[in-house]
Amino acid sequence: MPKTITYLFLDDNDKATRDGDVQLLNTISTDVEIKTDYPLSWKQRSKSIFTDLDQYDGIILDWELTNQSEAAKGSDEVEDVDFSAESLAEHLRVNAAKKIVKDVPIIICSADNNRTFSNLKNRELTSRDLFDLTCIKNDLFVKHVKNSERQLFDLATVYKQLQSKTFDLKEVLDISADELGLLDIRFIDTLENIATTNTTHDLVYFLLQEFIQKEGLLINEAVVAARLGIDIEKSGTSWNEIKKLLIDEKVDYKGFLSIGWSNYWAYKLIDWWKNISNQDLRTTGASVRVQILNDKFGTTLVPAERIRFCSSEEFWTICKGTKRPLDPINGFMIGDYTSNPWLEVEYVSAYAELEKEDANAWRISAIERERFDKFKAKILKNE
Amino acid sequence: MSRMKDILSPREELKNFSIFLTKNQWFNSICVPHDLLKILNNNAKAGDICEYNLVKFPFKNINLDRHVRPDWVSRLAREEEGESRVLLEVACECNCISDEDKISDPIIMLATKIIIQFDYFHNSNVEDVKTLQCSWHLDKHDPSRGTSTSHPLYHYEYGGTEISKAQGFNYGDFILMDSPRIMHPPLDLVLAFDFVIKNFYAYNKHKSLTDDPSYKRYVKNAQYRLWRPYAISFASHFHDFEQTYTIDRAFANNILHCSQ
Amino acid sequence: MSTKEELLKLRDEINQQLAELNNNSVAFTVDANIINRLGKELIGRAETGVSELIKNTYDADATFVTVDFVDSNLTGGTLIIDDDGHGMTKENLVKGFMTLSSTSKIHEPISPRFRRQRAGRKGIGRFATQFLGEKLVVITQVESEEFATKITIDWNSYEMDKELSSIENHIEIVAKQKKKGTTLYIEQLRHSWTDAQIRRVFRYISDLLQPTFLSNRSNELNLAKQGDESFLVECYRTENGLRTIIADINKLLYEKCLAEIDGYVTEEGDAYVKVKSTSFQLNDADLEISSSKLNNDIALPYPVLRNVNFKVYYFIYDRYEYYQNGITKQELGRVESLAAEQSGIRVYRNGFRVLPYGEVGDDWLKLDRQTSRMQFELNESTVSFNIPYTNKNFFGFVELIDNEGLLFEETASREGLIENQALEELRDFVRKAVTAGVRRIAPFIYNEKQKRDQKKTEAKTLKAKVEGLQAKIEEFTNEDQQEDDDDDHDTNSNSQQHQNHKDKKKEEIKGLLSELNSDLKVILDEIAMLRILATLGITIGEFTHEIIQFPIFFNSKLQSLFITEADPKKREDLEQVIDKVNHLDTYTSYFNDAVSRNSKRELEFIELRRVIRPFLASTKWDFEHEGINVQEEIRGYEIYTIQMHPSEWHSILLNLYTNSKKALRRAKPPIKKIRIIAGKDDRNVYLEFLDNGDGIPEENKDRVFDAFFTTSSPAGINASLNEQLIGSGLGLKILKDIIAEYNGNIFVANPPEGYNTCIRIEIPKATDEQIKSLQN
Repeated sequence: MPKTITYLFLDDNDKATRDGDVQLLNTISTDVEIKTDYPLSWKQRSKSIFTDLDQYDGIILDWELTNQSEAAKGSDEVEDVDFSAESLAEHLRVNAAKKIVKDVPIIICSADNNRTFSNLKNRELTSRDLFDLTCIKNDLFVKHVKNSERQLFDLATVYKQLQSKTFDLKEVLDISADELGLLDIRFIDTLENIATTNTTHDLVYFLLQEFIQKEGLLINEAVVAARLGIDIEKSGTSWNEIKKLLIDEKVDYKGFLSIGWSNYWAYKLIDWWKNISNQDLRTTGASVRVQILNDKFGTTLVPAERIRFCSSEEFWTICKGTKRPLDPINGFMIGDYTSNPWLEVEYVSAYAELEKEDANAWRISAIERERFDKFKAKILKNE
Repeated sequence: MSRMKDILSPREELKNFSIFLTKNQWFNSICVPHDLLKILNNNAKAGDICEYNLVKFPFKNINLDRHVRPDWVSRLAREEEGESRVLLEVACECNCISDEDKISDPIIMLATKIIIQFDYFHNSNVEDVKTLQCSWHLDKHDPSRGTSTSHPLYHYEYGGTEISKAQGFNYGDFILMDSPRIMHPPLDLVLAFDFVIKNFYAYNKHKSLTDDPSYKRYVKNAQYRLWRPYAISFASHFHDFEQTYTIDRAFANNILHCSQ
Repeated sequence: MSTKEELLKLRDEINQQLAELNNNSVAFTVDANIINRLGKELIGRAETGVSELIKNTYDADATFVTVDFVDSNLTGGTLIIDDDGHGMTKENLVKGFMTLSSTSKIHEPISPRFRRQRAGRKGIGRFATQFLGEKLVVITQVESEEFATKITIDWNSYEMDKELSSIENHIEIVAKQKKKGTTLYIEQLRHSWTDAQIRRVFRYISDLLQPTFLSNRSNELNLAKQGDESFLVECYRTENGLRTIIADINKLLYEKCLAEIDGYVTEEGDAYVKVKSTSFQLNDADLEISSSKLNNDIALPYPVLRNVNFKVYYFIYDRYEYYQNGITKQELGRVESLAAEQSGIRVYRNGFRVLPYGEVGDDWLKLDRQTSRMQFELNESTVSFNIPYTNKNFFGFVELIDNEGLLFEETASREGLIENQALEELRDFVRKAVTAGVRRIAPFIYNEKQKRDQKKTEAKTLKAKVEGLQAKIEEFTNEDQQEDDDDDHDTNSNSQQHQNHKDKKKEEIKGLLSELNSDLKVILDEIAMLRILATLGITIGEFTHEIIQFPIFFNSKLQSLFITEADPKKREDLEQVIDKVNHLDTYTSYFNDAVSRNSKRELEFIELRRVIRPFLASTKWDFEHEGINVQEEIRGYEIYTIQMHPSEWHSILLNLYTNSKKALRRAKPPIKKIRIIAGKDDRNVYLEFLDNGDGIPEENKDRVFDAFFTTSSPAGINASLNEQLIGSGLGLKILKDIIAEYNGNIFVANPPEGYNTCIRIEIPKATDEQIKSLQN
């Protein structure tokens, strides 16, 4: 049976290499097929792309399109690559906005994890809005191939759905009208606004950046475990049991972009908890939370342990550095704080900051610096 | 003297107050105002009732020096030894006052909790982090729960919880007692914030916020909304206001003590 | 005979009648709970409580006190304090102990026998016992009586709503336990006592009391008879019948000092000092100290000062290599942190500490203010260099024996001594003696320093030689010039001398030139080899960049094949290939990173954990394959070097790893171990690379850093260039050059227990300001 979703991968290597790179993904995926091609010159590709998109549901671009090897080109008619990935992406988006061509997911990847690419990845360059995903090639095609396959599938499907019917908020988020009233009205408002006035890409981008991939209305598995006080690794199969319970109770998110990204509704988790215990989840320690869950469900969950130097086990978020459960009162804010009000502030623990290996992985916000320096002095003094 | 028209609904006031706070630099250094903005999500379905629940909201970098505490804790409370904070919780449901000459209790439900926490390394060992804690509640008495001892409608009580059971803890300097309930005017979020800021930070630190006329206005408005009915009802026991106001007698009586 | 109850009732009635008679007056009665309140108010901590009880024994003229914690691991144990003081008669007990706020101490401010100033605070003792335990038993006896008195008090009976004086305590006569003295049994202890807590109590007390090891000299010179003036406290723990002494760990540490300086002033005022050092093998005869300010040979005795003893332990902290007395680095580190609170030279008078002398922050000898530069004679020349001797470097104890209080007087507030001539002379003596002591060992330290510096100067040998040559030539030409001027005035006899002198100089210059010539040859060879290695390096860089994509291709293809392959044997093959491809991938990404950082010219402040950890991650496959157990030990945080080229750390770590790997292959120990330690001290960050391979023989310890020194067997004639290069012997030399560029140091150090080789690298560390600016 032919696969439902096809992507076009433009890369300046020779055909055997290009095809070899995507072979694994193609092998394991039942829904997604990636076909590869040489980028060509700007003159050639910028025109052909419009017809290309008739058969493709998405585009993957290699970031370094500068190889001039003859072997890669294959024939004489093929011209040298003379454009950047960003310019092709820009070209597509502009034309999609004008409705000349359909809007599709555009993914950019690079084999090299050098500084400039990771800046792109961390959204510090202006071309950030153009791409839906920015990946390391190895992660995309090999290391996390199962995840990326699901994400590619999901993105393409969502783009298609959004362009084929009118925007229905309840369908997109997979919630009822009553439940809609429980969500932050500013989020709903912004979402509806973008849906009506902006392009599909803007909408998907908004969903990914301000809803799916950030802690806020939705939370991922790690944060769910933190809020329930559970150590995922040590709890083994018991954790799977809890997840199953949550899914049964429909705490998980099943709206758009839930196939590629696994999330849970933050407010539903709290409601689910309220049915189990009348202790306030936020102000109960992890050991107590786990005890209540074990008593109720007969599981053998193990409570999460505090990160070094932390005083509280009333975990609510995860430390950006160690990815382990953290109570915000022990954390130090990172990044700027002009994010949208329905999103949670991100924190890092003192321990992670001290043990930081990549100086650019995150930055403690300026206003917390003094508090961190004081805390650090206490640790260094007592060590 | 009538000022009602200058004061917006509780929800509006709260929203404006929160936004004002996010813009103040000093406030940003002691709190995460972003978390304040979240509780404002209120889809305005319940008419005039303003309802919010602020949970475990931290105030960092507090100044403990002014406070009396056990002798051995004083060694710890010096800046170098540990980290201290105040956690504020405010659960409130209140009405909008439409007619200011009808004096009644605008608050349906109120529970304010102030928790002081102090983290320190026990025996100077960085692996052994301990927390000392004590808390104060300011609640509105809930008549449905009944009462064993009679106490005022709005009362303040002290609860010492989770005192560290560290070895060698010296109870000798510290009195733990069964707490009485003391009358106190209600504190909603605005007033609770004001209370915490003024009690736990030095004046020269918080004056950049508290001397701001906008800030003072928010506090004054909150006091007008909550303390004016309280004060007038309380005063009505000692002065006849029949000519000026209509006073809810049940409210006025309960201020002194709730018999049921 | 009426019963007690009847008498008490009668007393109450009488009181009532008295009260009724006199309506205008009413007396205070006391509720028994005051005992509990006072206990809690007056005693803050357990240490204070125990120390007050010991001060009481001091006041009772005791010379030997034992403090024994029995079964006190949990609450409910017993504390026994036993002393040989004068004890109490029944009357003393009732009038003194059983009378709150009694006046006995006011009436007798000095102890009867040894005329000691009262150390204990008024009336706190009994409350200390109440604070510590629920029950108290006191057994006390005086020399003159034939029996002992025993009183039992249950503090729990002192509850509210009872009148204080109505609560009874059992008092009885019992047989004598010893000649004189008191024993307190504090039972049902309210706290549990861990070893650390007992040690803390003991340290708290020891701080007050003169250390016992101080009085040796006073014995030798008969300045004080043992058993008279001494006051010795010993602390024990008894658990399940087994009694162990709680030692004062500090004393053990003190003895591992770099040097011990002992000084004393005799009955006649003559002053001496003597220095002992195991590390420098020094055990001197006594040096005289003169009281006079003149710097001549005659040593004048001190006019007033008498009977003073001191012992000072001297430490230098960041030069672990000076110590040859078995002290470990951790111990030296511990002393350094102890120094933050306990360093300084303390004063004890008649066995008790006089504050504030020697407290941290007090500088009664003005040691901190002086310069640390010292001049001394060494090999007939005067050398001047810096040696640390501030309060932080000393743990000192000065003993003043002054029974009658004739020489020294304490101020009323007990904080310090009154400024008189004795005190001034004391200051002068101690200061001079300590300085003389340090000066005595300065030459040894200087020599050690020279040895270290020599290691540094070797890199500059060439430069130094050239400079030396230049200097000599200049000298020669100047002298020549001089001669020409002098010639006119000279006689014949001198000209021959001058000619010889000239010839000598010429020879010297020739010699230096030929030395330089052979050095030059070695350098040119080195440069040739470096050039080869450099081109190799460039090639590798380009190569790595090309192949960085290959593992993606390999993995994708192989894993696809693996998934679709049914044949188990082929699956196994594929798995092995995939495994090897991942192995290759770790190397290529590590080198890719190294190369890309190399291309940057900028220097960075390097935090060591950020180079060590990626290195270990990338070599993990390799050392697992070799069967080497590798561990890291990163001590503390913010281990930042001064600005360096980040890629140089790749070279350093890889180089050291390769050497260790070879050493382990040769030695074949049952468990192969490598340990990487990183940390920082006052001036440098350091990295130590340890292995338990075949070690470096003593004679090679310096030579391993020379160009072309290698113990690898030379490659055969047909060996590839690669094989030739690996054993080229340039590895460590290159490292040394790299490190010298940063004013750092690399040398072979003494390996700790369990390892055979330790290469230590020291690089100057970034300043606090620089680190701070990094965060922003």
